Amino acid sequence: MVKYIVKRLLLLIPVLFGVSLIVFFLMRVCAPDPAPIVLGQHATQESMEAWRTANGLNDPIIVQYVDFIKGALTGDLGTSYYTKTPVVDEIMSRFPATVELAIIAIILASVLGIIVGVISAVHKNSIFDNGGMLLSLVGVSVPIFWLGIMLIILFSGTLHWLPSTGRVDPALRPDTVTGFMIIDSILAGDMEALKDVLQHLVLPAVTLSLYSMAIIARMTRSSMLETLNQDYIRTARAKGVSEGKVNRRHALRNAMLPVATVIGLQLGSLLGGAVLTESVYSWPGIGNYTVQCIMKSDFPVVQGVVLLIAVIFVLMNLIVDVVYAFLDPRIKYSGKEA
Amino acid sequence: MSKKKRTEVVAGEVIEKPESQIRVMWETLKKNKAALAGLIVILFLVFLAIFGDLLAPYDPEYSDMAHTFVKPCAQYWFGTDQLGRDIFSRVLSGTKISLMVGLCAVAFSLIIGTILGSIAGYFGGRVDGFIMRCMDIMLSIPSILLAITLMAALGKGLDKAIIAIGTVSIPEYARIVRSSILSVKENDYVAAAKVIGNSDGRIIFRHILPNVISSIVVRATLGISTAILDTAALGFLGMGVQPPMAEWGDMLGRARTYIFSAPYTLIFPGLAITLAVLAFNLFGDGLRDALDPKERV
Repeated sequence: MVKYIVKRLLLLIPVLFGVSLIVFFLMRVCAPDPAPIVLGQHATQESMEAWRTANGLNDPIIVQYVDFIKGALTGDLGTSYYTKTPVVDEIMSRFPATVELAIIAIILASVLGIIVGVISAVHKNSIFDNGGMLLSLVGVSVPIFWLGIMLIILFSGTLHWLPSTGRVDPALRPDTVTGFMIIDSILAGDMEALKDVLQHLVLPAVTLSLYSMAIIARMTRSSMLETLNQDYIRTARAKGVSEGKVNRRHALRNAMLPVATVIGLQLGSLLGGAVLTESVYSWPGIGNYTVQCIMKSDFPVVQGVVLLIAVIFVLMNLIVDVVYAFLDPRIKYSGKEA
Repeated sequence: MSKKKRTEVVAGEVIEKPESQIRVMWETLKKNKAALAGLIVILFLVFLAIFGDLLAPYDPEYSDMAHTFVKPCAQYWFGTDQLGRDIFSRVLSGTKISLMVGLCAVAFSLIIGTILGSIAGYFGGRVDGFIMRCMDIMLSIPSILLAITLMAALGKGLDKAIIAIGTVSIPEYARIVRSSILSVKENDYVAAAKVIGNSDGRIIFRHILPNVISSIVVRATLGISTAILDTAALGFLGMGVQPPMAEWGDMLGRARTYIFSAPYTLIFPGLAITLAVLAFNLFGDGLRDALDPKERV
């Protein structure tokens, strides 16, 4: 097992190297010159030239890439063209917002998705099944940003129940300790702030969770149906185990394996920055930030963020595989197999 | 599935002919009401894409500043936007763009993915390792982020959106084709084709790919819905078409500023996207059930 994990971690290196190459190539070779965008339309030729030289953009492309990789290996991803702040700091100040949103969304998606999936499978072809599957079909078909907009119109614009943007009312903002607003407001013992933070989380989390919920519900249903057809389920029923117990103790537990995998993979993609949801709700996370930086040609930040997201994505896949092996003793990973 | 078989009399003997794959598929599909509904909506959208401009009551790009933000009424069914353009005409006109980008992007990723997957699966070894590692690298960047980065590098425009959206799905097709090829390439008929001197390209295209076509078709149909969603997402983020072209996502992105003052400007383009994506998803799911029941999720 350890051998397998080490091997997978080693495989990460060429992948990250490739990601850095792709992003670097796209941003530095294909994208338009950032100088007029950063300095503004009215900048003189001389000032733009000086800016390019200062930021190393006049060096040969290979030299630029080598510099970038050297920096990245020592944890230095450069500084933002605009704020002059190290990219690592820019990312770390926004990452908690993304993580907090992703975790709440995945909890919501898992709970609802599993409930819908199980009910659909147990009552196959009933009105619950059809309704649940229609809901999950709509979940994968609705554009997430439009859903967000509709929820804002309904709950913020019309009913005035929930706030439409941001993480917390600035007046109630708790002191930053961990960057996670829920934890910070609990640490500060400020229940009013906590309530406000949770209210701000509702709409983005619901929006973000719908797609994952749909995927989880579909997976749970099909996995449950497959399990319910197994011989051991028939044996359990033949022994006189009650239907509820068969479903909970015998079927659900065994059906959870592929569902756990899907949940892990979904969490990986949510942590990668929910670009669209964060954009709709002006959520100060890395997804929203990345889009803004791409628009402003802030290359160092874009490179850093994409690299970081790739690391999270790949690590999450590895974690899912490892957890899978722990959950299912039939699976044995060896260094060779991978 | 229908058990009927067509019979034919040859030299006095009754020979049972197995039904063609397409016929079997159609028989299964016909019974799937959801898939049929999806197909009908798709045909309707295709009709709108072709004749939408003729049916539109107004020029979708004509801005009438005397009639900005008119609420939905008999004259303007879906209302007018911030520039006084008729939203109904723009939604109709947007059908063409969404379907076109969706189809072209899928065709783009399908062709390149199939070629890469075929080469990787057929030749194996280092070529396979190299191609599939490249695919892994692409898969490790979330697709929407990769598409946005590509758009930033390529610039705005429909053609660029097609390339960006098409590129992010290449690995999916490459993987499907590769694994399908691996599963059929050891068959006797492939060996036979080699023995009689067929070229590698001919073996791949004539003898192997026709066997894996059904999984590709299913994936491509579902891929169109993803491509339509991605097109709308890029448009929403302001990276899609050039104004004043009517594209559903772009319409939403621009109307967003008026979310509280004119919410009706945001309802219909989103409904159109949902309808189109839903139709391709329903039809794609039905096709999958009809073609390869094993892959049912």
